[in-house]
Amino acid sequence: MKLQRFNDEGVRRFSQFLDALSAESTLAVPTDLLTDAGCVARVLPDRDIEPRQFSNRMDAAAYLDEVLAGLTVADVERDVGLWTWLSLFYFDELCPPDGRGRREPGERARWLPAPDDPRRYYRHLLAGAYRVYRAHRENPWRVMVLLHVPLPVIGHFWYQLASRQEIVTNPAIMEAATDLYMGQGSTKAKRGATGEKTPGSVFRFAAVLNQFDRVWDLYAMNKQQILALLPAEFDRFHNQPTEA
Amino acid sequence: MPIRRINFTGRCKILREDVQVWARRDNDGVLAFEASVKLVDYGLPDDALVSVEAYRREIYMRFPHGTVAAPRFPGQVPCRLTRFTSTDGLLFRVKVTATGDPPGVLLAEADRIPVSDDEEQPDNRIALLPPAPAELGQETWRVDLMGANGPVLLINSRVGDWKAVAASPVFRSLVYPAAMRQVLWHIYKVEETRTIDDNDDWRCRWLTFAAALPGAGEPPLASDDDQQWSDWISSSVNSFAHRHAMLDHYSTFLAAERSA
Repeated sequence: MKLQRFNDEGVRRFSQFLDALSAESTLAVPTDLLTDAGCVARVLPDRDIEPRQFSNRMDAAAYLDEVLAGLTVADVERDVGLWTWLSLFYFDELCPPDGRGRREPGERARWLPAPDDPRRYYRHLLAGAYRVYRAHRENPWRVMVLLHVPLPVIGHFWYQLASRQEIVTNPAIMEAATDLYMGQGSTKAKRGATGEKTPGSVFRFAAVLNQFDRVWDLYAMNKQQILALLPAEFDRFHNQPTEA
Repeated sequence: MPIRRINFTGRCKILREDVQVWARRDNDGVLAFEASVKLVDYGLPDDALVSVEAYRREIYMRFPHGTVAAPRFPGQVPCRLTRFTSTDGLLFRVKVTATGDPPGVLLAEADRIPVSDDEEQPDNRIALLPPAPAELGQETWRVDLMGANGPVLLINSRVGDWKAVAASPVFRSLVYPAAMRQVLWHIYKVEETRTIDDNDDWRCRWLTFAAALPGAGEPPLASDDDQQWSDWISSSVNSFAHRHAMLDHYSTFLAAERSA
């Protein structure tokens, strides 16, 4: 299929569907909107996009980065129509039905991007992953801690790290987080890494770095220097073997 | 009891008037910027390193800017913002860091510096109540007071063109005075702010803004009396509404409605 973007009417109709789905969870997905001439606008230059099953958010972000490269849209990251269309295109991947055909779409920001909302802009399931991948495109492995989870999952790593600009924009911090909580080459998080009350967990990582950011120029440091700053409570993750 | 943020590190806050950033597009369409950073009056070590950072959401670029004694951008000027496609939401940060032992200690910082327009005087005004779309059910608007950078005026994203709604005179006339009252009361009662001296603190900027309105006067910083604060807040909100002719705007809207 050719990549498209929704116009205002398309965004409105998809939004209506989400409302209706919240009330009736087995509603059919309105895939006809994807090609409805009254709802879509062309994206230039022409791009093909295909339905896929993504193994995790990293996989999806890498594919979207490939598809969206070189588009003449003024600002791909902030294009509400484009990301809303993509949300519907991959709806089965993003919001799979349970055994009884019921879907739970969750909050609106997962589906309709809110690029100007400082509290929700990072929550869009596709645009959020794409932006993080794109920001670290020269070494995507360093954000594996954020993108190793299945596409519909946001999770604690995301809320604690991706929501903080000082953390998610810093290559050394992201590399340190992936190293600490996943380990080299692993695609699974270490045990206890997302425990809200676990010493050294990602909750503490975000809180401690928030304090360090007031004292140190963390952008001038490399991964080793960041890890060396962390207090002893993080040793358990330094020393814990990676999950198979 | 809210946590008061205390700058216990001794680092210096660089005033906004000492940092200016201008952006433009190079001939090949790539965004570029130049910055002016004045650090002579801050008593910083001559050899301390200066850097300028550009950021927006997850995208970030850092540019070395020489030292306190010799600030300069190496290589090409203006610096090219190759990772940014527009200036929408683009902000800058200036950092001064120690070279001594231990290195990397932050000595001074200015954050959230917006781009100045090339053709006009630099605009250092701060958007005190930026609007943003949000999912609010059947509520039309709400003030979000939980952000570290200050309040945000949330507008229900289902209203359609929320930016147009936020800019409409009728919306402003009905919402902004009420929102202002709510923010000021929150600063007094919940944040318990009793100073206006820290220009980098959103609460102080709000109190300074309100105090500067004609007839409002200084806030009763030494007082914990609800009535005294309520009177001061009412006075400043009233002055704000008067300055922007809020009632006139609303009356005009009503008259237009009736004649339609």
